[in-house]
Amino acid sequence: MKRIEIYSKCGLLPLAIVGLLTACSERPGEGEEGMAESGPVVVYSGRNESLIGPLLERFEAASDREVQVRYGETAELAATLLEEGANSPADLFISQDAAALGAVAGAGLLRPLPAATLDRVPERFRSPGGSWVGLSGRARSVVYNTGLIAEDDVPRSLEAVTDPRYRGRFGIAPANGSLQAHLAVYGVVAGEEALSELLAGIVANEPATYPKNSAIVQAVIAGEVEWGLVNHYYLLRALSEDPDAPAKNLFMNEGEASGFVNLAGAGLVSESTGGLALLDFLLSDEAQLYFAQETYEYPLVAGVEAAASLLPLADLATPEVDFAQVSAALEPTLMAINSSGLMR
Amino acid sequence: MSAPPISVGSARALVWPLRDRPRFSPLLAGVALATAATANAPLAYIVIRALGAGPERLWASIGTPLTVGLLARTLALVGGVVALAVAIALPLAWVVVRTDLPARRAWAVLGALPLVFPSYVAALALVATLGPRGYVSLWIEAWTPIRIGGLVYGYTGALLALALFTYPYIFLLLVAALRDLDPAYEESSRSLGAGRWRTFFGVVLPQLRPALYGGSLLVALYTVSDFGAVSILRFNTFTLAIYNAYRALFDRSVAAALSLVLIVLAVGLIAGEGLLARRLPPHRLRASRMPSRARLGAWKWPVILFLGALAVVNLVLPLGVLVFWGARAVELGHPLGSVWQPAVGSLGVALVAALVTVGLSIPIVIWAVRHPSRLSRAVERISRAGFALPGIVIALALVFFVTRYLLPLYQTLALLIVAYVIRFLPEALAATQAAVASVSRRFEEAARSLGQSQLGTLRTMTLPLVRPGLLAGAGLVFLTTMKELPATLVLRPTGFETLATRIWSSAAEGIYSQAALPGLVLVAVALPPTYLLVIRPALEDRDGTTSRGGDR
Amino acid sequence: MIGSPPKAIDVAGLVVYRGDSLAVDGVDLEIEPGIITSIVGPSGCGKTSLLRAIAGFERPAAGSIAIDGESVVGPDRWVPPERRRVGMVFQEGALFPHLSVAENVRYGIRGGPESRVAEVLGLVGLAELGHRMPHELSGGQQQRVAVARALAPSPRVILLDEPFVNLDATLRERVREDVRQILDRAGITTVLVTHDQEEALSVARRVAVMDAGRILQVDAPEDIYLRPESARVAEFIGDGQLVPCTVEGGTFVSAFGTGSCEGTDGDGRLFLRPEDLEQLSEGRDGGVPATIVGRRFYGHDVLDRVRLDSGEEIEVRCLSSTVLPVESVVRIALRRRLYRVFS
Repeated sequence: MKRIEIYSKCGLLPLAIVGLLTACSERPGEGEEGMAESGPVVVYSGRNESLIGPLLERFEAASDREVQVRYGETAELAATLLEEGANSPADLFISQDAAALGAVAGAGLLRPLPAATLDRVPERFRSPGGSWVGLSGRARSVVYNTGLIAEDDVPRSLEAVTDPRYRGRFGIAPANGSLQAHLAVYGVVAGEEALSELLAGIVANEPATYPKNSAIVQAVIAGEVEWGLVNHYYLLRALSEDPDAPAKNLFMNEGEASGFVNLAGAGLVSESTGGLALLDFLLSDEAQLYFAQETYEYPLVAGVEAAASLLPLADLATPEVDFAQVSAALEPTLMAINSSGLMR
Repeated sequence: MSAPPISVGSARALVWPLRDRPRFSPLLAGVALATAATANAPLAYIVIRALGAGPERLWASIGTPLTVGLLARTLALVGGVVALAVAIALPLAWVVVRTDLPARRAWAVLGALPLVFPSYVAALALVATLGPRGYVSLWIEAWTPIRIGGLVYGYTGALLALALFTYPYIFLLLVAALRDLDPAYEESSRSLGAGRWRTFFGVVLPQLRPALYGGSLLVALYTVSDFGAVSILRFNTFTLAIYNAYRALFDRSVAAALSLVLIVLAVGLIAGEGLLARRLPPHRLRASRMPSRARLGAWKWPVILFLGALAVVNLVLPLGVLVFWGARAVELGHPLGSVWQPAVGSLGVALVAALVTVGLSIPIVIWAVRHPSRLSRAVERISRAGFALPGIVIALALVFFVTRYLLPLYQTLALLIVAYVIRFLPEALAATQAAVASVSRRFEEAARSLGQSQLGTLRTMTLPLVRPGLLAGAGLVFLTTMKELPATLVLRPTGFETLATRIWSSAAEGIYSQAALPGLVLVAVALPPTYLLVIRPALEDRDGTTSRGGDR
Repeated sequence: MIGSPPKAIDVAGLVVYRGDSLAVDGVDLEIEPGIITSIVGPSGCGKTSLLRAIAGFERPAAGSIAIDGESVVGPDRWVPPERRRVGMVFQEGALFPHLSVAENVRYGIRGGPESRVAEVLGLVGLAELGHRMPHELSGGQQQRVAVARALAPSPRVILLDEPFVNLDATLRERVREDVRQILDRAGITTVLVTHDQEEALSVARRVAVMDAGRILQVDAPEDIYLRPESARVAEFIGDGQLVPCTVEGGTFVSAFGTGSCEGTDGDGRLFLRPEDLEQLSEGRDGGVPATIVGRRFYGHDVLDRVRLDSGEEIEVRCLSSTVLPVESVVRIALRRRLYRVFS
């Protein structure tokens, strides 16, 4: 019998250590069912940490509740939610675009929001069924390096992006939810065939692909590419740190669906009060002001002014599409992006 | 249990009566079986998932010209990286083992040290120096009309970043092989009228083939599964496509289908190496004396120049870039970012992963080596599945599997450790296997015949003899876990960060200065165990137990 | 030997360092053409370094080497090994493991006639094994292939470095004899380095005894054995021991008896081999009484250790058919021959 003891000792010791270590280190973020009122609020955020992290810290300080955030791409987190289904540890899903919220809501994974929450924003910026609500508005733009390309040469429509003269000279982030939503809108407006053509044209133009919008802005400033397709506020944030950076935004306004004002929004995944409290906080004047002044997005709550440097929301071209349509178009759009080879 | 018969005579001591022969503990066998099963779970699940999507969907995902393009690009990168890595490792190994180069050992250590740099740090360094706005590019462009800025992206950059930092896998194996090669072969060749070159290519090189093939396989698999360098340098390979499909598509069976292709590719590489290696004649002579060293003569300074340039490119440059970024961030008053939490995170998971992986390798190896049977050997063999499973594939498989069947494990450190164990178990198995196999059973039997119990034998004989090998295995697992990126990105618990993910998120946002501190800390933490447990033993130990050499 | 044709190998004033120590310390050596010469000495005596210097694997610090009258090492002269036309056979044969037997043999005669491969393989009696891989051969066969490989390019000399040391005892003798015959038949100048004095004496026509980096004596095997020029050579070659004696006018007196000798008058040391003594049978006169105190039994003969009444001990070789029990008292006597007394 002795022998068994020996072997088990040497075999199981590391296992015991592991159990101990993981037990010790597991405390944060472990899925203790967000149900418990005092447990952490678990957030899946498709928004970058730099765009929302400070706000969450303010919420933690104000509410005395811990927030655990899983950052990722909007589509990645949406897919994760779909995969997890009813078992998801998440309380709140913050999305970079409305279409992904629609997709998750379509699977029945988002709880209906109370009217008080929904009514904070105009009807245009929330789900018709009341399953999600917009947090901030964000316009698609072209960021370009003023030292490398003249404003007149910057493309003013999505179709123009396929112009061979831009070959290899621009950047996009194909895995990014904002671009994907923009393309979905294009598909809704111009038709699926036009979308496939557009994608093929972009691929043929050999864009530099980046993991994120922020990386595109950095690359444009650094001169790695002449211009890139991004959301408008990334440049404004970069300029706030380095006012001399040689880059400008241009808002497309020709062709089909080339201008697009998207919105970042959120939906409640669990019934926890923490999730709703956080959502309400994000719709508070304080948080909306943060979006306006710190991240340079368009606040959606009435009475909160956008940053003075921004064009008024009303002046931006955006197609007349409803987000339910865009949501429905998102999955086919993603498959089209995938089969176009933009990500390969 | 009665005391086993001992000490009657040598014959009795060596041939145990059948019923008293020590049987393998059922408990330990259970642990080994469970480990092997866990190691193969991702593989099984990926197959099920990909096939479950239905043949049409599967074919629609992978049966396209895009897949062919991906495959071609991935293979082109593998071929290029292996060729360049061999081209660096071979002359390097030869000059440090077989010539009168001054400070040979120091050069050998320098040659192996790039192991501590993760490929994404290498890629960042490349962008920072040779990129469009890189320090070196700007300098060159200021003085010459040459424009090199764009070259770093795509194939060239990925090739350089991977080859310059993975060749040590080949180098370390070659050093051991060269040192073990009896100089009589070379001298025979010379006395038969062959000059230096014909001797090298006709006699030396063919005998280095096992080391070359083995090392090349490691480099090839590293390249196939690399995620960090190819994404920073924007060269789309299978691993990157899988990550993107996972990240940007709702339909994850596409990622599963692509994973299946990647697994087939990796298995193909392993099988190819196996075929090549099987055709080699058994090696007979071990070096009976120190090799005579070739005189470099007039070549001395060119060789030193080459070695120095190499060290500048793959040691000074990445370190310099990290230090420079850090310094500039401090100067501009940018936040360096707290590095404390990710450092603790990295260190913690790497230590636990090393301990668990090596710990789990012990029962598997002792079972297979000391109690060989068809079952025990099969368990040992299939436990190496992780060798053919890129980190991204393991991570996705675990996500799919766990969210469906083991939700409490989802997003836990335990699951992350499981992924590391699956991924790096082959490294630990190779080291443990070599260590246990090199300890003659006779020592254990001698200890028993001198009155030691089985416990006493294990404690006083086996473990002390095996420890260096176990440590080497643990060192390798520790190092590779510290550097691991794709599985960590996908599987880490919400809010948990490692140095690798911190570097990655800084790089992904283009804010390189925030990669400086975590990068430096990662290198500083990985350096001592890598040197002490991996590089030094490989350079000194004739058996090269840290290498995969003991695999066959 | 003055006035004879050029030596096959002519080594003069050779000094070779091995690390920081002197391996070869000023060696002069002439190797006769067409025969086997062995260099024998204890481990570390420098014999291998000498051989490797001839082959071109060691760079001497001083001295010169000429092969067939052509200088290969000298002041401002260095011919690399591949251009010396010197064949070398190593301890374990060092057959290239990735090449077949025939390819091994062909390695040194690139571009030469294919028939040469068959010819030399035939010479070593392995004509039918050309397709085999080295690891498929026995140790003895490997060694014969190594000889064939070295012979194939028709070298000026063949050097063998302890070629039989890793073969087991029974095989060793056979392979040794095979190789000797092969080389004899080829009529090629051969230098064999060995630490095994029996091997050195039985295979070679001439033997060079080396110690501490110097050549002590070069002679025919029987001269080395029977007429060693120094006590060191005598001690190294064969069994035996030095005993004190006094010489006067060509006759010595020792505890074991008297006899005629070469050597200067006065006190000296007499070298006695076991076969220089005999146990006198019953009824024969003379000799010195002694007691048998130990025995090594070899089958064909016996080495008895005997002790004189004065306490001195010596070994005596006898035929195994005539031995007496241990502890018996016998009388021993010196056989009659011309002895060497060293001062």
